[in-house]
Amino acid sequence: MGEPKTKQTRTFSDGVLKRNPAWIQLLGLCPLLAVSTTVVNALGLALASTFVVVGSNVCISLLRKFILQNARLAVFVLVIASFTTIATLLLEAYAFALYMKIALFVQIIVTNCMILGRAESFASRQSVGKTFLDALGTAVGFSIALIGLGGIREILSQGTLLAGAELLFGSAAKGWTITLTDGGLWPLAGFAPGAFIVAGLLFALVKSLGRASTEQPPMQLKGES
Amino acid sequence: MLSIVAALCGLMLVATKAFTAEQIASNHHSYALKTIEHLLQQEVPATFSLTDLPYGECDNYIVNQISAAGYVGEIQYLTVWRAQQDTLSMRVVRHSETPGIGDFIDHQRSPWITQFDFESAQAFTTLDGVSGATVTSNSVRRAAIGALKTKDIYCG
Repeated sequence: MGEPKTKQTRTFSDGVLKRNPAWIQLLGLCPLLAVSTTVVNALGLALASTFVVVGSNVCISLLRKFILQNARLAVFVLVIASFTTIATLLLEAYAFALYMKIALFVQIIVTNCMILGRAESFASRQSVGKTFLDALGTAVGFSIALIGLGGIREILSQGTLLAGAELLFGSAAKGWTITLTDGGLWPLAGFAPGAFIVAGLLFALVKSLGRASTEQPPMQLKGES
Repeated sequence: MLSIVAALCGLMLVATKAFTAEQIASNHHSYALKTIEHLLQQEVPATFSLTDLPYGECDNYIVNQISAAGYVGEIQYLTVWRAQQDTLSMRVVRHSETPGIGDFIDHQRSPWITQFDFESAQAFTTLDGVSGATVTSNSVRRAAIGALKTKDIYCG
């Protein structure tokens, strides 16, 4: 990695902002909408996704010289599925209460096209160091989107923040819950229709902010699966 | 090439599985115990183990564990049959049903299964299918019938 430092930070920050998987590329929306009911759920999925994205992409980058063109998708899916299973097992062993709530969505990280997309377009062509930064940037971008949406939805539907933190951080975190309003202002935000409405408004906001600050033509959307 | 990657991934999985298996088993065990205690509204003896099921007296209550095939793999149920009222309460302790479609059977997600707690045991066996989740609701019905049958055998 003999490249100037700015280029490295660029690889990272592009993943967070310019190529934010959720806001800009609109990838991985299924887990994003399904699990963002509270901050703690969102944080759990964000951690699991980060583990899978970084682990599998670094692995694929290490193996990239040996992967045959024809068999590459099989290899990618195999590696991603292994990391997803490991993440599920770890969650089941060390955060069981959270596992009972979000396990099904952790298992479908494997079908998250954000991860396969990064493996195909970046990890299979670039060095390990660069891939690590790129994967970390993508993961942080996805986590920010997930936790942001989770926060807004939790405030609207329950009037709290960090409710149930003990599921993830142990019983010491029981007092972390911040109560803002008594009960939810808009209970619908806790359900699927509310997720679509809040996420749609958030995407629009991010898009208009992005356009105002960079004055670039809008990024082309990649297809969602 | 593909087989080498598969072998590596397999090795990784086996190692994680071996490392976490004990903790996972104990987590599931304590969750099942907690569910039983919640259903019975009383504590189970410290020596109690899930292998003791069915457990209880025929003139009071019978706790049982039963599994029935769901849409995605096995669904594990804990059942409590109460002699006086002839009611059957069920809870799902392990399942992989589709989120948003079949996961209503999980009492942590939806109170659906708790509505039968104080109905006669027959309420389960004549249960209507839930639209969109026929296989899942059939599994609940099969599990209830199974639980009642084991109870009958156990109590003679």
